[in-house]
Amino acid sequence: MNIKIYGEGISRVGVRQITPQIYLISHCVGKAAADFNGGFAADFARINPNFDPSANDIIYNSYLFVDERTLLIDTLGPAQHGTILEALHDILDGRSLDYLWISHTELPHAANTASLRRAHPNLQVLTVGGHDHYEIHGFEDARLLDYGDTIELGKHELEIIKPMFVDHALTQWIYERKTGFMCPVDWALNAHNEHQCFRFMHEMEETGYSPERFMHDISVTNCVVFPWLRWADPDQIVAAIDAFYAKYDIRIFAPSHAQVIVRDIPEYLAALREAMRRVVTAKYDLVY
Amino acid sequence: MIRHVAHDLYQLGESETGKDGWCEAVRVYVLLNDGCPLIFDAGSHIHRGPIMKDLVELLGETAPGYVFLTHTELPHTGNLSAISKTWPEAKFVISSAILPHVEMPWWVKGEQIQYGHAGSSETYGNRRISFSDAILKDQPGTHWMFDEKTGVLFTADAFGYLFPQTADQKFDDELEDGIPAEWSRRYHESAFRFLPMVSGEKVSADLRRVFAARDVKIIAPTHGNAVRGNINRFIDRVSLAMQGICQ
Repeated sequence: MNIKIYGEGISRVGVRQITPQIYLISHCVGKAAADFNGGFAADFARINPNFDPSANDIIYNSYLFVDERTLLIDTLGPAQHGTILEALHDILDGRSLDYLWISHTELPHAANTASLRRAHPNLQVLTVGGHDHYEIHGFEDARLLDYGDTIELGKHELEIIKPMFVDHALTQWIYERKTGFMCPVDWALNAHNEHQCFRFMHEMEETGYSPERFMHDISVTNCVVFPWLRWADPDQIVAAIDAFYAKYDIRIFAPSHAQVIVRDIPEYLAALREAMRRVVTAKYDLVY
Repeated sequence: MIRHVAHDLYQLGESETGKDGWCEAVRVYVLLNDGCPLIFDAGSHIHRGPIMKDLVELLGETAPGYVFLTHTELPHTGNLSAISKTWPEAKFVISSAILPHVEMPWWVKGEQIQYGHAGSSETYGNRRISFSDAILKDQPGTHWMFDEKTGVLFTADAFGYLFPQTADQKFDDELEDGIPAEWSRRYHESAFRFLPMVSGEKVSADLRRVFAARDVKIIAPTHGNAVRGNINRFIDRVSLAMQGICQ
């Protein structure tokens, strides 16, 4: 595994190359994750015994395209404000960052927008259009994008697409047509243990992970990530997923909070589909 | 602008007018709590001047004991740094589902944070505050809080509404016929983009369970004014709005 790591613990960021021009910049805590994440894995393992009770770490991914123009997807969270700048400095090697695309305005995705603007004064911030009151989210001067809009980087052409699963209203997904890179943002969040940090999904299999384990993880975690799914119809959700899979040729599945999938994509996407059906039909407790 | 809602509950914060002329409020609520004030959400950074001025005026010489965050999006946390600089001793109370290292400002120290666990209640300066899951939310780590003394339910993004400029700062009982369902529909349709994919009946049933579980006398939404008049009528209209947005 070829990886460069910056910082440690809550500031830790790892950089890996997915393709020659697409970089993963990923945060997870590592060994002490349970101390920072409340030890949620034990609770999830009680809900589904297939969930790894030591998987207390969550991934936070940014993606960097280095083409004729450069584009960063999301900023990571507040505690990574120094390390993401350091990583970008090294990867860009004297070049400036041209675009920052914000998938949605939550802090784990957008917290370092201001510091990136300071480091790259000509940076153009791009975010979801079709809304109002952007100033309260700190995006008063962002360029607003609609579904179908494209961003030309040179060899890469990114398309803004309608998200299937959202939490925050100001959410978009993004797809790169030449490489089949799909960023479904918060969809497919899973968890990992301290031996699984910074792996791509096929490398997770060396630690006993599998599409089935992925399915079990998602069927638990996505009840929390998208709690509105308990009001949805499972057949409609599965039909929406099928239509989505049919529409896009996905060759790199790059979520914000799960391992990047570059191999055995059909198996993992099938597992994700089944997981979402289970999420909709799951019975889980809420405190009313 | 400081507005007295009821008992020792005050409402602060400003609103923003959209391109279509409809306004969205970003409120902060304060329970004076006899010497240990409790602040609920920190408001938008673009309203920092008026909010901090109003907080200083309202609290006088008394420092706030706790700042409760419904969740950590910018319109709710935009003045945490200003509050913390003015009153460094104030503690932050966040949902136990929040991961501070990615969801709180980097300068917040671990010892400044306390956690609220859904299903539990704690005493803050002799005031009992209970925590529940936010049933309608746009961020997973959102919780609702209930002040058992005054019956105030702090509902974060839920139960907000958009309004014409003339209704800014007006409570429901200061409007001729309360808050119209159309105002709720406009807001919820915009704030919760998943609603068209779900059953309105299921949403309304879940929301009603919240009110069946406690005696709510005031609803305190971030993106609307406090609802203190006819709560049942307001909930009925929100349900009506849901039927219009959802399946």
